[in-house]
Amino acid sequence: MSNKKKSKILIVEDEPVFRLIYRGVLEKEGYEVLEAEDGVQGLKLIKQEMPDLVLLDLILPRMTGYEVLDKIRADNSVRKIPVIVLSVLGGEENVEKALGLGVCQYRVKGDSSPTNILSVIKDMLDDGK
Amino acid sequence: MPFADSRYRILIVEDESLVADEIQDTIERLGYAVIGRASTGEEGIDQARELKPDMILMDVVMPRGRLDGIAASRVIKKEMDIPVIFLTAFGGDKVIQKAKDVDPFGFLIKPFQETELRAAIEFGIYRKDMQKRLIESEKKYRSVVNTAIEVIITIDIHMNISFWNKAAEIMFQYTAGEVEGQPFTLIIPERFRKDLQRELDRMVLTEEWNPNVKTTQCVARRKDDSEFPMEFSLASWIVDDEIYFTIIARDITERKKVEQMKTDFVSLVSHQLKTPVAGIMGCVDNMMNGLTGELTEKQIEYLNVMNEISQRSYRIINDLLNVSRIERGVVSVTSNTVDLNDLIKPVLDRFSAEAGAKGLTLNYIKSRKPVDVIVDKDKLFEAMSNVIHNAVKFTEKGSIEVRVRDVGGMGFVEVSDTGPGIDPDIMKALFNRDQIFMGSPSVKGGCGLGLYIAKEFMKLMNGDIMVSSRLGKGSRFTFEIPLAKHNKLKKKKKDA
Repeated sequence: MSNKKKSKILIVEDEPVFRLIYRGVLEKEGYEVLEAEDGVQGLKLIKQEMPDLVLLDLILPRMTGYEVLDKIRADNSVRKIPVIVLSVLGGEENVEKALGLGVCQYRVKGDSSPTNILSVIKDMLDDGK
Repeated sequence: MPFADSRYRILIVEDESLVADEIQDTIERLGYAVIGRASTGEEGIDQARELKPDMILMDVVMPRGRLDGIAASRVIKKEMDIPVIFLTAFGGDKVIQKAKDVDPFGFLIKPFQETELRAAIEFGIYRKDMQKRLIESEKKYRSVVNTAIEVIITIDIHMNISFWNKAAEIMFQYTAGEVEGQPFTLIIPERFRKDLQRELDRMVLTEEWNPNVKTTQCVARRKDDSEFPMEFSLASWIVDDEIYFTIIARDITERKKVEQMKTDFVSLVSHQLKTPVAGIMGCVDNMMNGLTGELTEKQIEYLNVMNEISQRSYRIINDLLNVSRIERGVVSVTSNTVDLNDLIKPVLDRFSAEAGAKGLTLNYIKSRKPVDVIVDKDKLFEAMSNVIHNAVKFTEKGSIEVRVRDVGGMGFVEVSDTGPGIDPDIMKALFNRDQIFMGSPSVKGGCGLGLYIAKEFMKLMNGDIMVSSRLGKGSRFTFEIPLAKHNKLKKKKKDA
């Protein structure tokens, strides 16, 4: 990690184990990590904190990941924030739907290791700046 | 007279009594009974009503009454359906043409020979008998069809309904009278009509129902506009150069419900299992990468085992999800043009550690030329992984050889091992989904679905997998895929 200003990454994820895993990987790399446990809280933090990247689960309480995506894309102030979907759903229809909603990357939990995801995040944040 | 039967009762309608006498003599000599005689059309009708003869011999020209023989026959035919044979002195075309209107059983030109009369009567009896049997068999057929639980409908080439059984009346709430002559698509919801019409046209054009009756599923509608899933088969038959179709249909609501419950259950359970397993895998990954501090050798050993078993669980869950997707028919295939040679290495890399640990050699023989095929890369990767992983799992010593080649418009990947070979009993159901229920000892650290999934995926890409094996020698799995220039799989993007 360089001396660049720390990028802020929001994890929207209801499963504590995945928050633990990704907080661990990201903090080790020096990123600032925020957490939300459901879609509503996630959307609120996106607008409040303007993270540099969002790691978004799809199956979430109160508001699904798809709905969160919809709301982000409808809001000009946050619509450009890159989103990586990290879900247990691997069906083509899920991937297509999410990509249709402007998702940058779609990763299936278990198919991609935390190390894989980390390198995707690094690439995206470098590209963005 | 062997054929004659005196119980066979004949009425003679003839205005010249001498002629009538002569005919009566002949008839009686032939062994039939003359039960009445009339000399005008009117009288003939009265006697027919009263005596109910089996047959009438009718003079055509009878000037004494108002009705001639043809007019009288018309009345008799309408009321009583008694066969009539005309007698006439005029063999003129005009008379015969006019008489044909009432569809007589025969025609005798006076004067006639006894043998002619006999032939006419016998033929009349035979024809009447045939007609009766036909009606009976038609009745029998109708009652069979009408008591059938299954819906039986016939439609003509214009797809209009020509027959509709009782079960159809119950299933669709329309009576036969309401739908006969109406288009078949009446019982399909408006929004599906075009699709079904296209499907029917295609079936007719390709004669797909022939020789095997194929079933098709669709959504059907009742008179009250409620809908239900229906399965039907289409079979064609030809009468007088006209093509008709018989449709046998059944309501498959219950079956669909059970199928849906099963796949939903599998899908739900699998997704629920996937999350914790992926969680364990993530934790292990982080620990291996030093996030929890320096690891001892023992800890690394334990983590390796955890990693291996959680990966295995994850693969089984993915297999179950794949099967449930195949069964729901929601597997979609993306298409990329790729060189088969480039696809093998990543698959081999995936299992090289496992093979190395067992002391197996992995040989990879590329084809000299590129072998371009159109495939869904992920699906082919999955299919080849399943087969190659099996080879690694089951082979204890020796080697696994993967060879790419192209022959006659097809690309091939052969995976040969020096393993134990496959038992012929297992061989039969090797690509069968039901393997999972056999609790087969051949399932080693998996759920036995890998080959079924591989085969289904290959079929989705217009390809296939074949296998040959010798016990104690080894097995060879062969993937075949049409070369890019021959594959109809839609080409979307170039990906070299």
